[in-house]
Amino acid sequence: MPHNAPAQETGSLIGEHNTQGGEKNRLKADDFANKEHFTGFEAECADKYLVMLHGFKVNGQAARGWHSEMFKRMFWSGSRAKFVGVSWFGFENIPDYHTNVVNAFSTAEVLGPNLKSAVGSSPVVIMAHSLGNMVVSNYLADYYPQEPAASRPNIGNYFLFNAAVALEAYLGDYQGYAEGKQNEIFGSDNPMVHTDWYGYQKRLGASEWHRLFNGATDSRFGLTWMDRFEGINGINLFSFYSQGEDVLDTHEGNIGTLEVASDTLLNAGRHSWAYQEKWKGRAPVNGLGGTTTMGWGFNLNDGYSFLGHHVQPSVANTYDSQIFKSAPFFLKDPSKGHLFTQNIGVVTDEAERNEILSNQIPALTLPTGGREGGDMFRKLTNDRVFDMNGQKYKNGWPSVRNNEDWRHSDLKNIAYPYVHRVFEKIKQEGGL
Amino acid sequence: MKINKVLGILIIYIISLMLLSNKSYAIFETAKITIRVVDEDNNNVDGAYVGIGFDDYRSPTKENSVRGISDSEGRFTGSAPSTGYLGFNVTRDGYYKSIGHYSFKEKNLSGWQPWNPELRVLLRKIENPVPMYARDTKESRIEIPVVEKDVGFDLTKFDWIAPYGKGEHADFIFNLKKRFENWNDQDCVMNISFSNENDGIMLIEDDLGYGSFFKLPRYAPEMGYVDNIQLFIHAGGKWDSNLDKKNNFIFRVRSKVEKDKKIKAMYGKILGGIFFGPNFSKTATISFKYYLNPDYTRNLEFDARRNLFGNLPPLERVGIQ
Repeated sequence: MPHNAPAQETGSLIGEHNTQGGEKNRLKADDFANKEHFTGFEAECADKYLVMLHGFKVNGQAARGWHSEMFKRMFWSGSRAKFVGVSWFGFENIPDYHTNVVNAFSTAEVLGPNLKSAVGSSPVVIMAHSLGNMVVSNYLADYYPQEPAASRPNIGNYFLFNAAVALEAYLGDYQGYAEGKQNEIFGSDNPMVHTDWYGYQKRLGASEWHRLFNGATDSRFGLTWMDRFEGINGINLFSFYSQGEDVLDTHEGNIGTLEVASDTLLNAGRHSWAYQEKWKGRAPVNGLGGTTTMGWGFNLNDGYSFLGHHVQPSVANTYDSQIFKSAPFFLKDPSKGHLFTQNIGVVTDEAERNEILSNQIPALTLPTGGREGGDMFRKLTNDRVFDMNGQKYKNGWPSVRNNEDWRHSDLKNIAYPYVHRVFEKIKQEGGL
Repeated sequence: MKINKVLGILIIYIISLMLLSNKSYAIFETAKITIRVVDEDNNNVDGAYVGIGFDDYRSPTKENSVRGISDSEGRFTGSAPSTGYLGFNVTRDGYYKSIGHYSFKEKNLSGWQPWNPELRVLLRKIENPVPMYARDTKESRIEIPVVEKDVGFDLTKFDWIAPYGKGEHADFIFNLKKRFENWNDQDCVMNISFSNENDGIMLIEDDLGYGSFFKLPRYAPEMGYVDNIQLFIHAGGKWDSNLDKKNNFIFRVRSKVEKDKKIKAMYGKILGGIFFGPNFSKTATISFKYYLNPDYTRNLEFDARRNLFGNLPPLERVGIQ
């Protein structure tokens, strides 16, 4: 395929509910309305590609904004790599976050061949913002290793920006939070725990349910965020997080009303990520900032309720774990009877696993792009983990922003002169 | 009576309109705070510029800004509609900038609570910044040359001493023990020791994220140094390590005892922890950001315009924090 445009856009890879559609591909200069803009660019470009994926609540047009801005900023920083912007459906039914997580997983499945058709055999550096990291991480963990080397893109480095993915997906139970501690109780020591579950033993929760099953024989063992992306190997990862995050900020205590959660997600406000995790299984209507089954919901059947209320921890904590296989203490999903059996349960396929993780299994660790994102040093080493909120990566700050925190989308929103060092770092580490 | 009734209806009508309007949140979601600016002697600082950004995702910049000048008691009070969080910055000529943030606890019909809390913000004076050797090995990467062997590193030459480099003074002596299968299955220990009897290092725990841009004490203490520290990573099922970016250090190297029995030495500081990473190296990379004052005083105030390493590449330049 001829590459005579230094900037390309692959259209939305997965349409709503897996239909085709979205923005059209623009792979050559002729595909762009302003094709004359690209004249002469090709000769300036190196035979390398930088690929970028946006995050949640970015529609097709906004995606073009992200892509343009990232390309320009990299160019200003001295990069002469060609650029591919990938748009995907991260904007479906806002404020429904979880549907878009499912879309992210679906996009990962088809990312490889589409990317290959855009970049050929050239070296590739890939970067993703926020929920775009769910797409890339899932692709690199599950699909990339299966693809023959000759028919997959040649990816060397992966830059995570403000990743809206739980740390446990990369680091497993890295805090020793749950392993061997199933009889310990949920409490305020972990800010990701819903306050209604304080006092209940961890083994009663949806996040720990997978431990009841044999990993070799029962696919329910895979219903956890822990180590979900441990399959990423042979690629250099660099994580850029911010201790000044708003969207991924740590939320402690009571989750407040669903209206607040919904409004927050609608506006991508502070604590959005924590809210969507804590509202798993707690929303009266699916998609309004939360989901309706499993998660932090309580099972009021199977003898677990008293006068219409879930039984107290002093009673629930005496139950034998084995009964939870078919009758979990958390709220069952009536549409997934095949999961709740004493026999070997079967998660139908990878798509169902990803859907359950997205909608119904709460993360117990903080997001990779947020306040504790520095913990990624354990896997990546400290040399490859960068706090963008530190003064190192700020060159002053706009006077209209009295709060000098590096917020979730400041990579794009703050003018280049203030944030150029991050782009120079991408260029340096990515060899662009 | 009739007028009162009409007035009552009018008031109810206005309140209803406000409740229904998009701006109704402004009434109930107002937050108020007082910033009190003080110096290191706890004296009030007047004339300081205070900027407060009240979190509000409905605003184009995601904040409602309030700005002003601290009064003779060092106070500035600001209020604005908010979603319960704010960040602020305080500046004044002759002082280092300070930044901070605050989370309100809850909201009621009177606004965000606690209502108008007073936050004490420290502004530190710019007194005597001096040239230093300042380098961040996270940007200018170094890798320990060998395992299970003492290797000296010269902080002024930024190099290992012979036979591994051209350094002349073993300011820090690193010794790495390494058993590494993967990041989650390893036992690694990095020992840091010193060449001279009175050299040493002192731990100062501090989360550097907020507060004054000038971090740690202005002068290095005369006492309290230990002659070595051990950093470790033990991982095998569980991960255990004392590597922590909150672990800052003050150190003393090239020390000699003078005739008057006073210690003459170079002092310095390390901000943001000392890390080592065995993951992608036959030995380990070491990352730490250090400032070494060569003038043999205990002054730790760095002049970022006079880094003795000269004109480093842009990404390797080191600021005051």
